[in-house]
Amino acid sequence: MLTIIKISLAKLIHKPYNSALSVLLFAIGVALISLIIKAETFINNQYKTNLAGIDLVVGAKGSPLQLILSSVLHVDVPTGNIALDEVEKIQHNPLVKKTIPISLGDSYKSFRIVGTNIEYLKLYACSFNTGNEFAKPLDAVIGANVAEKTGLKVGDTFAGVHGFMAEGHTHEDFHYTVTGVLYHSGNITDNLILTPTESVWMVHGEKHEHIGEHAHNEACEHHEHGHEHDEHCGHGNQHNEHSDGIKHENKTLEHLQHELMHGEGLTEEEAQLYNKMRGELVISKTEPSQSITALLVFYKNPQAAVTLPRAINQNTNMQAASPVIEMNRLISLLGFGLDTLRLLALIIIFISSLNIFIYLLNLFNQSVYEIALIRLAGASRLKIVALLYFQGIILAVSGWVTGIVVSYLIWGLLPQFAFIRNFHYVVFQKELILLAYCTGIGLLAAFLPALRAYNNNIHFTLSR
Amino acid sequence: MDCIKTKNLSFQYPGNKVFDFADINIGEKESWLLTGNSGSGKTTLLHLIAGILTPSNGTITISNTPINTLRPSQLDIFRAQHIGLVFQKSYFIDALNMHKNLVYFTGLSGQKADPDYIAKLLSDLKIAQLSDKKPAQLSNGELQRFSIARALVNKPGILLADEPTSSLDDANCKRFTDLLLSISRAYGVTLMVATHDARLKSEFVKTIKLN
Repeated sequence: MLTIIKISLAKLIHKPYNSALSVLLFAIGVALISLIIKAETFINNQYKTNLAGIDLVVGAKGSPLQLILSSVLHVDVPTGNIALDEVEKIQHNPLVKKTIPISLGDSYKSFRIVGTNIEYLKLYACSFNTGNEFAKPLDAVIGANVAEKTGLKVGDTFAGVHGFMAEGHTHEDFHYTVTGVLYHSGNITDNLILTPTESVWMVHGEKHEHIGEHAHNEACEHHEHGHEHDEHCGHGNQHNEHSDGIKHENKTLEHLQHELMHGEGLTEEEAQLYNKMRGELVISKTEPSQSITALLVFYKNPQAAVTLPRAINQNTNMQAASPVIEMNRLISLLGFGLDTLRLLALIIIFISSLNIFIYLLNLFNQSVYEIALIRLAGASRLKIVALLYFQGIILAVSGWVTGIVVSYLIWGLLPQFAFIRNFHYVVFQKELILLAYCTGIGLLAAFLPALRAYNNNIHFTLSR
Repeated sequence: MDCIKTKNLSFQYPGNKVFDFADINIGEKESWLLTGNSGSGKTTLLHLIAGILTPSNGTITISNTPINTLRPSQLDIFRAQHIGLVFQKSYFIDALNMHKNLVYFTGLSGQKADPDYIAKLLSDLKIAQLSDKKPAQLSNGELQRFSIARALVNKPGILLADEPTSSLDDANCKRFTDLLLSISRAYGVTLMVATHDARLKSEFVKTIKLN
């Protein structure tokens, strides 16, 4: 049988252009299907990873899909803001197990700055390549892609740009300090800059220039809001000292602000001190009228799924959207496009299998004497059939190999899909199934030529 | 001892006339000429002896083996190992060079190629220097020599040639016939040449004439 395989291969190599054309046509179809497999797996994987078990997203009224896209996948603009006092009601709802705030508005070099809390890092099981979690306002933890593309590292400072575009108004008054860089995780955090919610309030605070003046009083109000009297007194003293410190530092703060207003640059130390002072001031105040962009909600029990979204949608001026429902809707929309591409790929594979069939048939017609000789040499009819089938399989498998290589090259060139390694095994499994189909197509294309070869009459062929 | 023996042999093509052949007894290492007009059944008899056709009646015994009792797969191997064939046209696998054509021919018969034997065969036929060429690169005369080499590569006991000289001029006809006879003697094979070419009559002592 080895001799038959060698002859099959030699005959295909002997006609390189015809063979290459057959392989190429087949490879185009395979590459397209392979890319669709990768895209589908990528999308499903991304959705599963990025949804991270979030049961509900609460945000401003508007498109529920937009709310999910903006607050969970971070690919759309937010629907608006929701008031903190409304948010607190949801947080205290007995059906709610946990919530995570999301505050959006700024970006840095097109990477979104997301105001949130430490729970967000836990939600996506983030691990640190360097540095630590954020601890205070204007601390920033950056994703692996952010670090890679911007060159930021722990200790670096940067100012956010209003909006999500690369160009825009820069909040020069507020410099973030990178406290940690995350490892590649294959989820949305790779492309995010995470900071405490207070940073977003601070940067967008309408009266932030008066924060220093009212810091002490607001700090006291804040303390009275949530603590026992004794603690308040004890802590209040500390706070007085702290506020004194701020007052003392306010002179420096005013000085620094003056320098900034007059276009004088700050040294790195001055910038860090400036940001630290402003951060401390914001931490020490609570504004009940503050808002966030969205709230990620986790249910305590399945019953919540029935009652909570309806209650929010009907009784508040907010909307509640289920990420799973919205993503399924989106996937079904994308699915139509992928189905169309898949159909196109199948048509290409059908045409290429026809091409293989015609090629093999011609090869057989040109080789009837050779086939008769091979029979005379001792090869059985089944070996002659195998000869034709091997040629069909070699062409189809070569087409598969070429197509898969091309698809991986194309996929590898797309930087946003660089973390393909996270799910390559699943993709490759599907591509192996595709190989089985391709082999079947190769066998099918070779069937008629093989049948003719099987029935080839040596006597008549050699008597011509 | 008879090398080729037929008894009451007949063959009928579907819907056509019946060929009834006289019994044949050909001994080992003998050289025979099979003559007759076109349509007299020369090629049919040759193909019956080679096991390419199955007789309608009668028996064929090759080297004491009644070949019509063999299963098709057994017959394929038996033919490859015991009978060499040379045709009017020289057919080769055009994708392979001549050496590989010979080696693969041996491989297909289930035997291992003997490099020394092949080298000697090619040397005796004076085509050793052409063994790395492909069929398209050779002349008809060179291809005919390789046909003989291929027919003998499996060390058969019988060499059957079907109209091997019909497309050759007189000089080449004489040269090729001499080569065929000398090589069959040298390699100890029984030779049977089917032809309507009258130029060969003087070269053979033993003749079977079909009517």
